[in-house]
Amino acid sequence: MGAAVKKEPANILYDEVWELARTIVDARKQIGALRPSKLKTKNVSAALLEMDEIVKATEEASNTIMDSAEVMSSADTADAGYSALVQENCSKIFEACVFQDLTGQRVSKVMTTLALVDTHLQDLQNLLGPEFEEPEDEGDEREGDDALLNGPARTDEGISQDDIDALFD
Amino acid sequence: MTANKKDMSILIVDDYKTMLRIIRNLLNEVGFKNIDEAIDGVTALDSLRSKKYDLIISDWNMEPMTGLELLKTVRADATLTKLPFIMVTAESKTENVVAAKQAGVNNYIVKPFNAATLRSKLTSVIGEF
Repeated sequence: MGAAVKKEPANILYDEVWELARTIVDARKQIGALRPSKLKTKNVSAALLEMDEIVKATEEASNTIMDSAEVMSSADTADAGYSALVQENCSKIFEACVFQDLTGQRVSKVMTTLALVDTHLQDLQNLLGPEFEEPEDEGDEREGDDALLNGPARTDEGISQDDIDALFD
Repeated sequence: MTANKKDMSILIVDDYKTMLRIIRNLLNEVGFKNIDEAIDGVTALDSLRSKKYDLIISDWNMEPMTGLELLKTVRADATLTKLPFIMVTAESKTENVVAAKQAGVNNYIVKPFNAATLRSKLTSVIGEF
């Protein structure tokens, strides 16, 4: 058995750099396999368009329902055509309520995209490995009155109108 | 305040046109007809400085001026400071209500709401009508 060949420092450095370059190439391939550009340009863009459609559909339905309600509430009950007018506007309200089914389907598509994003982020986290140290969550950086703007609360958040009234007693 | 309370001039402020329409309809339902609309705090201030109102009903979450900023501006303005102000908003956390109350709001309605709730809060702010 021959004696082990001692490497020159330059060769050791070369090997380390080579290993580092190979790791970077591998990481790029694995990140590429997550197809971030497809996720961004196809899935997320499509989800944003779906959300736009949801907003439009709910607004359109609300306006149609209010149009019909306004027509009925301002109609003369003594008018011979009153019954037909009520019937016609009730039909319009029923038709407008179809939005609930359509928006439900659109929301499902958005949820599918969010699940896909979640999976990709999980894959990325796995790729980075357990030793990867993430910076600490900076939390909500808003201050003062800005921090109070949070939109509608979930069912288990916020307080009821009765609780609010109690604060004014 | 106007002698016949149902003739009082009301400014409703919301950046969502459907909500403006809902509040207008609910106010009509309880008898108020003299209603103007504004789509944010800045537009509301313009209206308040060009016409005399008896009551303002405002959303909170709007740009470029929120309902809370509008409330604070109204309370800081000597000519408007006593104007009754009702906040109608989806913000329903205790800290929101407390902040609005500290800023001088007269009452606070959380969305979604109905005509009965609106009527009850109007009564508590302006008295029976």
